[in-house]
Amino acid sequence: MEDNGVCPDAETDAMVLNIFGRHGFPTKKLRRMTYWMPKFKNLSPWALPEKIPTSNLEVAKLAVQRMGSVDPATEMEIFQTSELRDAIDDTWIVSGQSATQRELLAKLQEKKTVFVEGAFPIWLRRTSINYFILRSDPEPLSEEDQKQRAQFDYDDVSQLRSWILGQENLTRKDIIIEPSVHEQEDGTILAVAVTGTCSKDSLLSWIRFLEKKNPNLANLSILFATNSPLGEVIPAIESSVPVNTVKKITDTSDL
Amino acid sequence: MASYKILTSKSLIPMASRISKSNSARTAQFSSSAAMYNKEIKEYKAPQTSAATEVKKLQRPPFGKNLFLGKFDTDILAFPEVLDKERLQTLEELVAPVEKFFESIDSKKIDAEGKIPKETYDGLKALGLFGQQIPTEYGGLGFNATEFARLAEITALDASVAGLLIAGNEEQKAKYLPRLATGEWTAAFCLTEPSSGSDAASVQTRATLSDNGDYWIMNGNKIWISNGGIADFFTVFAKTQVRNKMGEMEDRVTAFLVERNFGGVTHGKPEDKLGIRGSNTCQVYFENVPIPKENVLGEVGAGFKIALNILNSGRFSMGSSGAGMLKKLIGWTAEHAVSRKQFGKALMEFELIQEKFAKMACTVYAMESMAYLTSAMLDTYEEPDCAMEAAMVKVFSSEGVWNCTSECLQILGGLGYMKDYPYERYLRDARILLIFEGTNEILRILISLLGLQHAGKHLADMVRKLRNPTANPGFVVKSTWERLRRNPKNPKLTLQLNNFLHPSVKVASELLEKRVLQFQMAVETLLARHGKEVGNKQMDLRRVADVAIDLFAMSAVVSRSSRSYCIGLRNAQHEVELAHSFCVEADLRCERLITELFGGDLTTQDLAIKKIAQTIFQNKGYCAEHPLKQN
Repeated sequence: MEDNGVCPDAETDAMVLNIFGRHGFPTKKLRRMTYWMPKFKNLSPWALPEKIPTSNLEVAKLAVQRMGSVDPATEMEIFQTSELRDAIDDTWIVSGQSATQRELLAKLQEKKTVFVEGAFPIWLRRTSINYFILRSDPEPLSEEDQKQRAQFDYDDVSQLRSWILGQENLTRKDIIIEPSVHEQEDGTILAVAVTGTCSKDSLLSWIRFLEKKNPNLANLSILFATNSPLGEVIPAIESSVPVNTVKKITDTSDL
Repeated sequence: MASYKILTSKSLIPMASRISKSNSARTAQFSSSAAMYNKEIKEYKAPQTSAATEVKKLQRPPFGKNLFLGKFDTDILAFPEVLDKERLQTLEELVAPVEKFFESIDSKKIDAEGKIPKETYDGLKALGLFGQQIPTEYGGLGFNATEFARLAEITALDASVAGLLIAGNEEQKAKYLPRLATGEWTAAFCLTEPSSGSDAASVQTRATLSDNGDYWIMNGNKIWISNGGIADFFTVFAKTQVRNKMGEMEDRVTAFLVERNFGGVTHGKPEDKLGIRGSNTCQVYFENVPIPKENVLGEVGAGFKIALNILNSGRFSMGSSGAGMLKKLIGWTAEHAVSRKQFGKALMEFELIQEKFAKMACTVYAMESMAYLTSAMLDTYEEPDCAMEAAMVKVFSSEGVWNCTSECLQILGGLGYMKDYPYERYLRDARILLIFEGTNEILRILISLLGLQHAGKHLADMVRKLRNPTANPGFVVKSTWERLRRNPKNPKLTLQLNNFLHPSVKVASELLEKRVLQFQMAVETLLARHGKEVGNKQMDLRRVADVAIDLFAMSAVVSRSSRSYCIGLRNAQHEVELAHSFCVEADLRCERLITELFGGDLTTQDLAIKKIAQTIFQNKGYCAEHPLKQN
């Protein structure tokens, strides 16, 4: 039963109990399975429905929701490229961005480069779908900041300052601002998207949609990268033929 | 899930007994509980073919009342599963359209205008919600207590509608039930009068038997009757002359079923209320209403008991309706806390906000657990004696809802205060929960008196001897020695409740056990201290009730989280954390109350409170001189 992921139920328990008795290995094993298997079934914090939907859009929504779960303030938006004038493809785009990421984007200086990287596969049980990210280069702490953090005086209570008391211009000497979860060592992830077609054109449309809430994007230079420091990339296609098929492993049952 | 019953089976118990210290009394306890599990296994041999297989009702002693004697019915610790898979499925399927319907109700408009639109009424009728507890043979939905509680979670989203539905569910006559079930007729419960609110036995509405004995003539008026303006059918409680055992005529309350078309029934204008404004509440006047004698509900003179039964049967659902409403509110508030930024951080990163959410979650968890435990007891016990438990659920839930709604409003800050957001409406609607269906003060007295009455029967001899120490010196010395040996501050945990629960709730169960044992000692102390006068010592009764409520809540919470963890539900670890957190808080509350009960006047402010109150009443108000006054 455990090889095929079948949870025991009351009838099986009654059968095994009647055949093998209360004190034998089979009953004990079954009771242990009854205890642990439901637990493991529900253990994943990223719950997926029992049957993964076959439609690409639904799978994309699940994928973006899962990726955005690192930041509770993530908002998932679904765009249709038909709303844009210049779009060649007619497809949906599921995009996930949180308020924190928007702030990080807004803080980027003019002419900085941001990369649209992809497509990376994400697996939801036995289904995979490709997604793209908008990434900017990582900003390591400046020398000054690093020195200040190392020398932060935790013992000094003579000058307690706080924003609550109305004191402005709190410097690095008073508080340490932790980096958000989006700022990683290999880059700052600014947004995540899954498109119906994995084409360059759909990505362009995505950028256009992002510009509505992130006006600073217009000042940045956007590069469509074929390599990525984040991992192996399935390159975006040039043509507009819809190709983002959901790959499924179909030899065994879909768990 | 059915797997839960397998897990509470005998093969796990020997493991637990090997861990605990052996004791002949305890093994006896285990074999008796093992016998109970044996019974369950036997029942599973027969495959459950149809839903018609009736579950055999259990004969259990009253849980709450026995807490006063230190007897903890460990059956509670296996959180009862009332509905089998099929019924649960049917219930879930019924819940979905009801939820959708309630989402479409414009509650803000109902609140502003003070009435429920006809489309809403029709929608409720179509869903069959007017006949939730009416048996299916009369056209109702035939819900048992658990299903009723589940649906109450959704109907709570619009409190006016919930009030409408509660008033229509109690009668048992075939004549009226079909029409009530379809919602063709609405019912109203008429008990309160201008001079008798909490004191229900002092109603002044009178019904006199006519000369030929065929019908009663009723005169009187009732106030604050929900659905008074729209009901066609009233359950009215009136005083009648009854010949008692001694042969004298005395006044007793009788329940009557009165139809509006009997004539003489009029109603006043709808009251303008603080909350549940969509619910029609008005005065109802009865002027020489002729009531046929078949319309007496129950026996003549037995009306008071019927009133209490009716009120009891609706009380426990307040727990689940409160929980349902709060779950929605907490969801909206959490979304707000996650996205709103102040001082550069989202609200959710501030500890005070985290504390608020955690406390709210613990309260809601306790509310739900208590409500469904009570509904399960009502469904599975033969002749359930759950008046005390229902009252406990009502008191805890009403205060919990009021406090949590207030906190949600607080988290939203200024936005919460605005009428554009629903929080202030929920707060106003929640305020009535502490008042109707028995005010919380009365219910606290009820809880403690029910328990003390039960305990008094068993402890009568002991209390008499303790109160007459000079006549029973040996007994008093012996019992004092026993009490000291038992160490009231830290009693030895003899109940071994943790053997019936998953080890992850061990600490919580030990806290519970300690307070149960201390509570028993406190009850004995109280009865010995006051004797028969204990009924008047309301401040002590309030403490007793608060401890009892906390103990019941702790038991419900610990039992439910243990079950969730055993069957491996999602977020079961989180439930265990909620349970533990709740038990620690409840334990702290009980600590203070029990100390006050043990210590009596030495540790409490009771005498000072009485003195201060007396001065205030003599001076008809606050009487300290103004701080600026100069002599």
